[in-house]
Amino acid sequence: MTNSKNDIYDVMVVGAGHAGIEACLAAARMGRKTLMLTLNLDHIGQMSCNPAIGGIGKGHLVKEIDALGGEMGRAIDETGIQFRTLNTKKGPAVRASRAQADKALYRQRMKMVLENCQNLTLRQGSVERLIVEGGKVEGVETQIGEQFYGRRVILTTGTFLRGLIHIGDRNFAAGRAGDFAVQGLSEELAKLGFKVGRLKTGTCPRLDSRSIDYSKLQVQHGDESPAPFSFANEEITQRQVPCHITYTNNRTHEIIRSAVHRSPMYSGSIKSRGPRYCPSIEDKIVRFADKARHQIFLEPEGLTTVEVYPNGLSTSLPLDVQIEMVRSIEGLERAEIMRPGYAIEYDYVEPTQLYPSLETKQVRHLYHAGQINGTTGYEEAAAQGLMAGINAVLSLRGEQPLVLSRDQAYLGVLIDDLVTRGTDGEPYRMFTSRAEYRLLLREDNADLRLTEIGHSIGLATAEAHQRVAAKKAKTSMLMALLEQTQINPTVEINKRLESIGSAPIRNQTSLAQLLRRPEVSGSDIAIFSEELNRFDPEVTLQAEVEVKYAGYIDRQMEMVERFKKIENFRLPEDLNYLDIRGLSREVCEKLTKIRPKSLGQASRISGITPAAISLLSVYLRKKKNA
Amino acid sequence: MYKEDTIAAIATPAGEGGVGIVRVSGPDAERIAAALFVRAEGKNGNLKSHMLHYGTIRDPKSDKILDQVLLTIMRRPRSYTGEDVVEVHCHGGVFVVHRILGLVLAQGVRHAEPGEFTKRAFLNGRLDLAQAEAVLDLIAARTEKGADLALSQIKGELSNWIGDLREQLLDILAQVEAAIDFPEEEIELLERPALVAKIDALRDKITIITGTYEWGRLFREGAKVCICGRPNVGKSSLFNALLGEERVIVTPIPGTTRDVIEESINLDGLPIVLWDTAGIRDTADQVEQIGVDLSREHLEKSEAAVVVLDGSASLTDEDIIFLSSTTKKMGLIAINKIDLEQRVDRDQLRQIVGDKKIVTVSATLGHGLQELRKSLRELILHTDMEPPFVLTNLRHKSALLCGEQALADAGLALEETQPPELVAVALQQARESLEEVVGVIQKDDVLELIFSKFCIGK
Ligand SMILES: Nc1nc2c(ncn2[C@@H]2O[C@H](COP(=O)(O)OP(=O)(O)O)[C@@H](O)[C@H]2O)c(=O)[nH]1
Ligand SMILES: [Mg+2]
Repeated sequence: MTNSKNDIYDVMVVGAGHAGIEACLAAARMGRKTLMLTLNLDHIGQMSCNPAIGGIGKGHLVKEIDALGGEMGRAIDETGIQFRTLNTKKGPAVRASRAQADKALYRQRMKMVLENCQNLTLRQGSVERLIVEGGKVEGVETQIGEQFYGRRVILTTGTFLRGLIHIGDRNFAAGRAGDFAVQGLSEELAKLGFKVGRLKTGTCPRLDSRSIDYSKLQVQHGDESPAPFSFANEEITQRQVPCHITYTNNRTHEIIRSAVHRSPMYSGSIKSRGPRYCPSIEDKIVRFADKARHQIFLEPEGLTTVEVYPNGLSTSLPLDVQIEMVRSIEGLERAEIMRPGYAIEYDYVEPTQLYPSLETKQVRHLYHAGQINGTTGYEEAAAQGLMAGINAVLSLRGEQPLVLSRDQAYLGVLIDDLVTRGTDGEPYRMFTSRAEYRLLLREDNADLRLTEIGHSIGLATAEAHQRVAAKKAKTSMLMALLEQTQINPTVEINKRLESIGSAPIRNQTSLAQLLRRPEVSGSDIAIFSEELNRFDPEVTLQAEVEVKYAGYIDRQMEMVERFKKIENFRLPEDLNYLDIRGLSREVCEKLTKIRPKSLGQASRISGITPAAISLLSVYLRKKKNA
Repeated sequence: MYKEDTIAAIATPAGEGGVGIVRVSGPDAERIAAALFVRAEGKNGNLKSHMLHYGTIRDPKSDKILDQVLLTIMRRPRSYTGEDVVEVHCHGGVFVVHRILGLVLAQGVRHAEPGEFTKRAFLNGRLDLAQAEAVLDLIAARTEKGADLALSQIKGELSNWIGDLREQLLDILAQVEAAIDFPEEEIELLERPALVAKIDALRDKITIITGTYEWGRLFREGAKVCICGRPNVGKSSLFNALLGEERVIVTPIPGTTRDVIEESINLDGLPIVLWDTAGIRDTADQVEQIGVDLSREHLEKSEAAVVVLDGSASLTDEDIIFLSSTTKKMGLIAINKIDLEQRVDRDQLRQIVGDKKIVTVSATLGHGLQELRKSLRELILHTDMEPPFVLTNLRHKSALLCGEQALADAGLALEETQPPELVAVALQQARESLEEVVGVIQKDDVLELIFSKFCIGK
């Protein structure tokens, strides 16, 4: 069955996970005729692992997605059931948002948004083959032979490529528990010349809330006034619920230790490496044998379901061991496992085979986004989906791709790391320590950094654009006010200073100077001037950070300036590295493989020396002059 | 053109005789020239571009003249790098060239990375291609093949040492980063005092090594040490004892030594120029007065002072005035005549001299001389341990100094209870400085360390 070639799409997205959703919405909202193809229309926006969005580094990504005009922030704001701001005492740049989601609501909401989106068509089908002509992808073909034609194709297939679930010594093919795997596509990709690798990840068993004894457990409530992710939202109004905390104990550890040989990770039936930052409970017990207990967060999966996600108990031990282990834990003595935990192996496509636009180097007009690139996490996936969707459209328009730089956004750090350094055999997750200009990439200024860009490409709304312009203007106003408002060393003033735990002043002092003291916060100085209360909290926060961190921010900006100099130095597509005098063979091979877009990107490839970079720049200069 | 910082380096290959050139490039080049260069004729202001100017380089702190030089200013864009460039041509050999570079860097200029002038020249479109290629080939050969075997041994020790420091630093950084990126993982909250102690220990190690940069000069030229104290405490006796011969007349009559006597001794390979001086006191005797003035002069010129006290007498006002007036100078205290009954109030002495080292000797019996020699050596080399190697490269030294400063910043940020993200900035800077010394190192090390050290993840 062939859909008419006349019925040609601009952008076709394979997959409806977090990457697929953002890719489709971006393309359709930018005015392109878009198709979403998914295995199961009921599972759009499914959270396969824990029911939460955000966290350190990840919250930053969600804010950036929102600032550019993506969907994830708005979705979690409407369906979140517990919001918390993390790292409140560690500085504004690493402060991050996290929220528990009602999984079912999140799915429903995403499906509704997709169904109501103009220019977007949804179809169910399992893509098994790419239609490639002359090095260009032209369409896809499903399991049942249905063909779809389109000018750009984005693959966001998650863990579905040859997914294989392990529980104890049993294993079976699945994309995740309850969904079919896709068998043919990764072979197709290998045939097209892609290097395909294998990764592993895992998830926890799900428990029946009614079988848990919460009376003994520590309660963890969300923030009193939950802060929304999306810059468009001002408050969270839906009902909020608490999580609970319990711990593993000696007995738990003994049970695991005596059964560890039955885990597929240790029996040798899984060979691929899992993420070290998301270890299974058996991994934790083996690798950190002297730790007396491990924390388990009991997270409700929604308001209308009894399923509970025991975060921290990821395991692929056999079911009998899972039950025994769970029941050794305080509060879970009678717990019923509704779904077992499992490990899953899946194929991914080495992301160094992508350009920074996420278009593949092997096949033109084909883009990869999400877990297929070896990342983990809903946020990382959504981030790539968004960028792939944007860049597919920009390419259709004949414009330059949107490549965010490392000093501009975590989105930029993420994609640059992936396409330049690859995943190194371990699923890639965002951490704030991956960003060298961390102080510049804050959640609070994601809109200031990105909304204008989102608007200029036709994605972020005019309202968002105006909101950001207003925020910018008000922030400068407030900063000027802080510099201009002087207070005198009167007894009264110094008393107030004492009351906020700060030393008295001896000379006339501006509020800005006062704010630069580490112990003085933005809300503290409000007592010195009525006028300050006129400003919105987000403006106050912005001004506070800018004033307090001025020295540090300036220094990072200087670093950025230096970094940009080689970052903006473009390398031609057809550069033959073998022609360059003095480059070692190893360096040549690496450069030929990655084909960096800029001198800066080249310098981040592991094993490329500064001397090689200088040789490269001289060579190019010579060629240009010739 | 991009706004850049100002960089400097020695532009002539190391170890070659003849003229040495220090090159400075960037917006501050002209300011540096104004601060250090004194023109032989006429005013400094308005040095003509692309001309040779004759004059001297003067240390603005000590007013000391370092060398006669020729200086050129090439204002942008007509210069090698396309920026303002100042070049100082000097004749005084490798050592003087390094000292001049040191002065330039002390003005807040960054030491250029290998090939950085060429890179700037290139980026500013000022590149002479043939020349640039030649320069870069050379750089490539040096960094990639490790041209000099003799050097590579020192380099090995240096890299090992840096490697150790870096590991300790990463340990601290991992602690901070883990607390930032994994707040829910029950990672022990940052123990600020413990971290500060670790950082201080690292700084001390770096200080010892950066101190050795001066050693090259000290071992070649020797350090000047002045023996001083009020008359008749046994200065000349001690001088003779250290020399191992009767060089100076010793009498029980105060004011016997009227001249300044100079001799060389050798402390385990470290040459010392030793001065015996007249006792410093107010005197009516004219000849003695000249000796006293000479003593003062020499004391000022010396790099270290050995202040001699007579242990058999209580501290006199003269002693006290003398001790207090040398508190700022590098030095140690020798209590002489320990063969006699001791009358010096040690508590009072300690109060006056602070943490200066005190040794007890008997010049006549030769007691305590070994200890005195050892203490003097440590004092001059700034360390009581034998460092694994001696720093010979100014670029390494300036990178290490930056590292030291960054560690100081990190310590301060911890003490001021600044947020961890700012502590991390300083620690990252320290790490970059260390890595600059030995070359680029993989970037994911901190995460590696976090994963191996802490049980992360849910
Ligand atoms: N008992 C004793 N007498 C000493 C010692 N050192 C110096 N003297 C005597 O102290 C007097 C002054 O010595 P001199 O070296 O000329 O002192 P200066 O004026 O400080 O140079 C001489 O009579 C020395 O013999 C010592 O260690 N023990
Ligand atoms: Mg004498």
